[in-house]
Amino acid sequence: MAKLKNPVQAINQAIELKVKELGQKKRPGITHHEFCRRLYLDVIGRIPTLDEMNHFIADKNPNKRALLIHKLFKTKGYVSHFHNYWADLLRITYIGDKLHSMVNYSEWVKESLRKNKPYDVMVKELINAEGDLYKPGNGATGFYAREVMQLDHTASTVKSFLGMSIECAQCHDHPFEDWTQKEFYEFAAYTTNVKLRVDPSPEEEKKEYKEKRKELKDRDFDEWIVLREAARVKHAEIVGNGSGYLRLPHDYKYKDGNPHEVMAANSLFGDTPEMNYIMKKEVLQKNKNKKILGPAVNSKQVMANWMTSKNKMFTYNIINRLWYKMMGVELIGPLDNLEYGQKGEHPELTDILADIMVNVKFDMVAFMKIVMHTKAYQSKALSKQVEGKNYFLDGPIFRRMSAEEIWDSTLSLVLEDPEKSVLDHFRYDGFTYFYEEALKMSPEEIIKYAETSKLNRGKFYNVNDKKADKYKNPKAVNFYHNRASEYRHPITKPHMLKTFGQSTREVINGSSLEPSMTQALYSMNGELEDVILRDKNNYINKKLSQLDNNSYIDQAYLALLSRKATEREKGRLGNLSLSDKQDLIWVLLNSNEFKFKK
Amino acid sequence: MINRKSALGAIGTAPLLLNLPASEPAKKPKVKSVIYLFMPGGLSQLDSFNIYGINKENLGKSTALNSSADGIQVSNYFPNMAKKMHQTCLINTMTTGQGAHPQAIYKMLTSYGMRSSIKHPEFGAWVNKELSTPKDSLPNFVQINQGREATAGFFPGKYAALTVLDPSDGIKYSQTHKAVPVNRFNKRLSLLDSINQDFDEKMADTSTKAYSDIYSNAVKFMKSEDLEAFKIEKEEASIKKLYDMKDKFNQGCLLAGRLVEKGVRFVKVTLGGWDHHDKIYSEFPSKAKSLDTGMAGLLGHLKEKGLFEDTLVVLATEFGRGIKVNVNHGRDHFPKSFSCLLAGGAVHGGKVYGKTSADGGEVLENPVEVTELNASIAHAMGMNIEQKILAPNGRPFQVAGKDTKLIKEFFV
Repeated sequence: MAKLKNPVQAINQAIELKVKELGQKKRPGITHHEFCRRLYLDVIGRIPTLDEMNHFIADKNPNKRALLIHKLFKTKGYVSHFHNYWADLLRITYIGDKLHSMVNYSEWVKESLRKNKPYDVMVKELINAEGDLYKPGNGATGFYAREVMQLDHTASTVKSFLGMSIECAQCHDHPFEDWTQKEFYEFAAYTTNVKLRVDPSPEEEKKEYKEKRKELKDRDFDEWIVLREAARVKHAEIVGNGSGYLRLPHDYKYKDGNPHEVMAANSLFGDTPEMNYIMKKEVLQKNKNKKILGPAVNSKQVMANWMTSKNKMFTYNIINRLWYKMMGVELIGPLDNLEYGQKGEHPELTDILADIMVNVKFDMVAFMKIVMHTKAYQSKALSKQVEGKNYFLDGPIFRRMSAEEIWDSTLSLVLEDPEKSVLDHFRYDGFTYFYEEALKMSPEEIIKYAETSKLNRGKFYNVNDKKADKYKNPKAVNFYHNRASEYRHPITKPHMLKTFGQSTREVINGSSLEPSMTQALYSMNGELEDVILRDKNNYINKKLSQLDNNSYIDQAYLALLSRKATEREKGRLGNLSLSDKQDLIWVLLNSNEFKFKK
Repeated sequence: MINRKSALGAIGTAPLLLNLPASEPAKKPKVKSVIYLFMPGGLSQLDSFNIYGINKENLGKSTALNSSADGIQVSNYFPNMAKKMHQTCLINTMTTGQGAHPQAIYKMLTSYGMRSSIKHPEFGAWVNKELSTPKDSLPNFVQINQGREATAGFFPGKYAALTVLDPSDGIKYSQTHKAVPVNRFNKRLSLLDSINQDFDEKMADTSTKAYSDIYSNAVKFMKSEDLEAFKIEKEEASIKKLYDMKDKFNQGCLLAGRLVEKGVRFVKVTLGGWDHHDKIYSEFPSKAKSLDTGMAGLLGHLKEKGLFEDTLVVLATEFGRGIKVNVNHGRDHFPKSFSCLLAGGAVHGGKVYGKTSADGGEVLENPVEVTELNASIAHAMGMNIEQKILAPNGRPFQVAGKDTKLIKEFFV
C-alpha cells in the first residue's frame, strides 16, 4: 500500500493545482453507494448485486474501498469485462469463409487477463504470433488471421497500439497530416510474407491429400468439403516472420519513389531499428518476379520491439485508452486518432501517468488501481455540458453504459452468481477440440473420416462443437444467462446486446452508445417484463418477495440504482400493491439513471 | 525521420459538407421511392434473366421463356416476371471486382471497398440522411427480412435502417407486453417521467435528453397510425391476391409497397440463399419461385395503387454465377458479368442494357460497375453524386463512390 501513495499523490497534486489555476470548483467526493456501483461497473462490467451492495455498505472497515478495488481485479468478472474491451479493439469476431472460429483468439485474451500479462508482453505476443491457428493457447495468431491484407493490417496495428490513424496514407500522401504513402509502405514492410495459410503445406498437400481430394471432388461434394475443412482445422497456420521489404504499388505517383521500387522496412518515428537482412535491397530490386520479396529475417520481431520499447506513442496510447475507460474523458486526444507527440491539455498529468505506466512495467491492473485510488476517480461525475467548465480531467464524465455493461447488469438482477457462465480456464470450441483430435490422426485417417463420417460442412462444425461441450467444457448455462464475453460473436439471434449497440467488430472500437427506437420499444415492451419483473424464481424477486413496503422500495432502489429511495420518491410511491411493485422495477429499469454511469 | 508537425486544427465530430461546385444543376428527381430487392449469395444470371441469345449448353437445366418484351427472354423459373419484362430495364453486363460474399455485398450496398478503418453507410442511410424532411413520420430507410446491423456506418445512428425481421410480425415490441394493459402502461410512463425529471435536475445532459426523447418518440410511434402501415394483414384483398401470401419474401414485398404508399423513400427487402455451389437445380427453383412471384406481385401492386410512376424497383445481387455447371452440379461465383433489373415508371421499359458473349462469360458492350448502377439510382432520386461528405475522421465520401459516372440510358 505504501508504494501506491506516491503515484496517487502525484496525480492528486497535479490535478488539484490545475483546478486551482483555472479557478474551477473542486468536485465533491462520492458516497460509498456511488463508489460501489462505479467500481463494479468499471472493473467487472456490471452493477453490484443487491447482496454485494448491502455487504459493502455494512462493512465497517475504513479501508473497504481499497480492499474492494483489489478484490474485484482478481475476479472472473474482471476477465469477462476486459475481454470485451480487447475484443472490440482487436475486432474478435467470426468472419466466415476461410477463417472461422475466433474462440481461440478470445481465449488468448482471457488467459492473458487471468495471468495479468503486462500490456507490452501482450502486444509482442500478437505481433510475433505464428504457428497453428487452432492450437489451444496459440490464439494470438488470430491477430494475423483477422486481417489478411497486409496494408489494412498495418493500419490496424498502428491504430490499436499507437493510437494513430495513418490509413489515408495507404493510397496517397495523407492530405492534412505528415504521413506519406512511402512511409506507410516502409512500415508495412515489417510484416511482408507473414501469411495465413489455411490448407496443408504444399509438400504435405502433394504427398498426402492431393490425389484423394480430386477423387472426392468428383464423387461427393459433402465428403470433399469435410476433408477440406478437417484438414484446415489441423493445418491452418500463420507462416512467415517477415522479410522486411515491400515494393511500392504499380501506380505510385510521387517523386520520392518509383512504382515497384523495393522499400526497406522503417519505423514511423524515432530511430531506424537495425535489421539483419540476408539479401541486399539492390539484389531484390533486380528480381523480375515482383511477387518475390526476400527471405525471412524475422522483421516482425524487430517491429514488435520497436513498438513496445521506450516508444512514447505506445505508452501514450495505452494511458489515453485506460484513462478514457475509467473516466470517460480523453486524457491526450481521440482514442484512435492521436497526433505524434501530442500530450493533451494537461501535459504534466500525461507525463506523470506515462511515468507510472513505465514504472509498473505496463502492468495495466497496477496502473488502473493507482488511478482508482485518486481523488479524481473518487469524485462526483459531471456532465460535459456543465457551464463554465473546460477542464474535465478532474473526474469522471457522465456517460451511458456500454451494451455489454447493460446486459451484464441484467444478470446482476436475475442471477445470484452473475459470473456463473464465466470460466477460469480454457474454453474449447469445435475447432480447438477437433485440432487436438486431428493431431492424433494421420492423413489417411483424416481422409477416412471425411469419407465415412456422413457429415457435411455444417454438421462437421456442429458435431465438433457438441463434442467440445460434452468432453471438454463444463455444463453450459442457459443461453440468456451468459455474460457478454461468453457468447460467440456475432450473436445470430436477436439479442439485447445488439439492440444496445454492441460492436459488430467490423471496425476498431465500433460500438455505439446512441439511443434508438428499437431500444426504447424493447425496454418498455420486451422480454425483460418476463425475465426480470415476473419470474418469481429469479434472484431479485426471491430477495424482495417477503419485504414490507418500505423495505421493498429501498431494496429495489438499491438493487437497480445502487441507492435508497429519497423521501420524496417514497412519498410519490405510497403503498404498493403487487402489480405496483412490478411497475416500480419496470420504472427503475427504464430510467435514465439505470443506464447512465455516474 | 520527418519531424512530426501538428495537423491543421481540430476535426469536427459530425460529418461536414464540402461545398464543391456541382457540374450539373439539380434536376427534378425522376423517382420518389426505391424498393431495393437484394439477393445475397449470387443470383445465377444464366438461370434467370440473361437468357436471350445465350448458348443452350450454358443454361444448364434452364430453358428460355419468351417475355412481354422483344429481345428479352427469361428462364422457365420466372414465368410471372416473363409477363412483366416490358416494365423493366434489364442490365446484363453488371461487373464487380469482388468475388467473395462479404466484400462484394459490402460494395454493392455501400459503393465502397471493405476496410478495417471505417464503416461506410449503406445507400439507404444516405437516402435517409439526405432526403428526409421534418414532416416525415416514418424513417426513410427500412430493411425487411434481414438484420444486418449498423447500416448507418459513420453517419449518426438515427439514419440506420429500421429493421423488420418478419413482415408478418410487424415492428417488434410496438405494442405493450401482452400482460400490461394500456392504463397500467400509462401509469408506468408517468412514474418514469418523474424519476427522469428528478435525475435531470442533477445531471442535465444532452445524452439523457436524447434518451428521454426517443422514449417519447417510441410511445408516439406505438399509438400512431403509421404503425398500421406495418400490418400487412390490413391490406386490401385485391392487392393481397397479387402475392403468394404464405411466402416470406412476398410478404416483404407487400410490406414494401405499403411503406412506399406512406412515403418511405428507401425500402430494402432481402431474399438470401442463392449461393448454389452444388446441386443448384434442387434448390434454385423454390428460391426463384419466391423471387418471381414476389417481384411480379410487387410490380402489379404498385400499378394498382398508382405508385408505379414514381417508384423505382431494383433487383440486385452482389455477383453472378458461373457460365458452366460444375462437377457438383452447381455454379460457382462469377463477378465478371451478372444481371440486375430496374423497373418503374422512370425506367426505359422493355430495354436491355449491355451485351455479353453467347456463352455469357464476357462483357462485349457497356459494362456497368456497381458504383455506376448506384450513382444512376442516386441521381434519379435527386441526390447529388458529386457531393462530398466528411466522415468524423475527416475523410470525404460520396453516395455512390469516388467520382463515379452516371448511366443515363436506364431512365427515360
